[in-house]
Amino acid sequence: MRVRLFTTCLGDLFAQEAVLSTARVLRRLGHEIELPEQTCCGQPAYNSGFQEEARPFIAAYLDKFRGSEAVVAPSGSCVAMLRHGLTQFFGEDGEARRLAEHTYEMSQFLLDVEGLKAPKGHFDAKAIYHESCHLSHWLHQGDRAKELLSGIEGLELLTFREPQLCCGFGGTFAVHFPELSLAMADEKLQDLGSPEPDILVASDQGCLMQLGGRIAAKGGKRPEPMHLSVLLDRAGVGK
Amino acid sequence: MEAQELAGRVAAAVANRGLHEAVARSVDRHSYAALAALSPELRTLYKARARAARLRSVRDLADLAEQFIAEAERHGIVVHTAADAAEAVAIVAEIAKRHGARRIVKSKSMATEEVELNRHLAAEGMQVLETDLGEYIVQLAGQKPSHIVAPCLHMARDEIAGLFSREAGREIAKDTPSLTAFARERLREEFRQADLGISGGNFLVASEGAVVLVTNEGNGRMCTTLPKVHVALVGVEKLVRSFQDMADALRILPVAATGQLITSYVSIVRGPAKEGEEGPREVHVVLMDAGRSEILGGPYEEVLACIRCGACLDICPVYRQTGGHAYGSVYSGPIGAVLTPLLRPDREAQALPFLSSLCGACSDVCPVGIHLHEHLVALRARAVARGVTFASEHTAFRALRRAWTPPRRYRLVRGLMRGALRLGGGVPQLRAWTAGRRLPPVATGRVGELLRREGLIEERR
Ligand code: SF4
Repeated sequence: MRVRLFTTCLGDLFAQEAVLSTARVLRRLGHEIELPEQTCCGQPAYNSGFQEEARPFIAAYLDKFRGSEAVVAPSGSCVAMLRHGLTQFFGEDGEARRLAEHTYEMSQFLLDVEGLKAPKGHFDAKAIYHESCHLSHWLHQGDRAKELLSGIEGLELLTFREPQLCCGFGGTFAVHFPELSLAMADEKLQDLGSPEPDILVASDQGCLMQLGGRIAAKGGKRPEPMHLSVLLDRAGVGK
Repeated sequence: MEAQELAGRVAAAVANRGLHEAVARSVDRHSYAALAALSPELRTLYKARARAARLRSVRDLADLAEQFIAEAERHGIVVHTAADAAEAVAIVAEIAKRHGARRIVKSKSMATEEVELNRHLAAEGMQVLETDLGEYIVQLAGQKPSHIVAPCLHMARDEIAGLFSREAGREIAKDTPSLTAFARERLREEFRQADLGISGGNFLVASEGAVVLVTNEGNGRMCTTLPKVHVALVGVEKLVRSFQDMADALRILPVAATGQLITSYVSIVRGPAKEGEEGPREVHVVLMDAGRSEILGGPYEEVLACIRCGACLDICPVYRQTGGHAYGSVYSGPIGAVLTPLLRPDREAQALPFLSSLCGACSDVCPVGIHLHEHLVALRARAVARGVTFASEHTAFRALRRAWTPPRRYRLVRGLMRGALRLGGGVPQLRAWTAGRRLPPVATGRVGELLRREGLIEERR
């Protein structure tokens, strides 16, 4: 399949590894990958109440990704925004609706389009999986992404006692209510157990920056934040 | 301005870690019990039925109001309508005065909180006593409820024992039996003496002209039967078509609220006592609009379907950190952040939708399927349109739009940004971020370049 990659602004600026890994895994699974011109999904503006400021971002997406067979992004949050924005702003355009339905977060694509079930791989680590909220509550995927990790040898997969508890990122929320956002991160991190797992896996860069950044600021070394795509890549999924 | 004030209140609440512990403990108890109470299949079924029943009723609200009034009056209930809070208060005060009421007992009601009924009646020289245990505690403490189902959920047990001891003039132990024994003894006496009982209502059944109260302590039934006059103050959105529709909503209400499959008391009030019967001689219902009709027919209409179960507060990652008081409104948590700006026109209320990380857990847990997080996002846009926003964001987002669209410009700006970020940048938003979190290393090159170098992408013609 011809898969188009939406790299996301956090992927561009901070998490290029996640973008590269997403591409590598898709490639190994036999897909051709294209990288259309693109910008951010507009969510920072949209969720802060500046919908008109967000519209041109969605317009650019519709313009540059028109006709895509499938678009994959390493972020449930951006995908939720793109899907929502396309239908809200351009719902009367049939292509907007179609494109919304063909825009996927990585795990969603692998499970629903690729039909992967517990792919084989190898990665030695004790990992804890964080259910990012936009994947679980906005895209209604729950914790299905864990299926993708269940066939990986050497990987011990832990879950939070409160898997659905938000990490406190929330985009501009973290800036509007900094103490609250940090308190939320701290409560989440308290739930890591001890000894801490080696890696913290999630499929949203926002959560990883929030939790990873908090661990680092407190002088912690573990767990290392790791995007789901990076884990799948390093485990050799698709080889 | 308003947004900054809200942020200040939130910071103060977050600094109080004892508050967080008390709140988290209680909401977790509710959430776990609620989750365990039903199988996923039954939950889905019950939710669908409850949502359908509530939406049907909301859609037909105007007709149901007429039908309710006619039916209730047929059974001898006096129905009043109040357009706003001031009217509602005036109606209740007038009834109380006409009966020379001095002592009033009240069961739990958020509608009466909304209009600050107690304060107004006290100003008329009347003594109003809350009889729901949680409300009684909050009243003793001189506070307001912090949760729509469990008003004193923010308080530690020691605090409650202290309040009771002071009230009793002797030491009351802090175990549950001792606390409830004291409250029961104290309240029984008041029920006997009261000359007016005030309640809210969980449902108004239009086809029957009945007011339905759902309680766990039986105090509601005492308030509505012992005093010779009963007044129910109820928001007009509580109307349902029939007992069947009520049952559809009632089946999930206690589950969502506390994980109980059935509540202890469901009281159906159908009018004053007849000759030879015991019970109140007069029953009044005040049907209150106070902003509801403006929500009707608009994009937020489904919010009126809320059955005030509190589940969205219990699951909310923000509420568990701040408790309810930080919201500065009668309704807190996700439903409070949605409903308050719809009911209250003031600017302070418009800032509330920002108090959410938009995780969306509330929408999933809501037993009537209200899309709370989507309303929060929409209400943020409405707030911005009304000039309620965080400092300088207008400029910031306009600048971002200009810098980041179209895509070709984004590519250039992104390159510049990488440079700026690596230098540590003077962006204020960034400083707020790095105050408690370390920023990951900023990428040095273009991601497209890297993808190409590895031969991962097909060039488009
Ligand atoms: S919005 Fe839903 S979850 Fe929240 S109180 Fe109302 S019915 Fe309950």
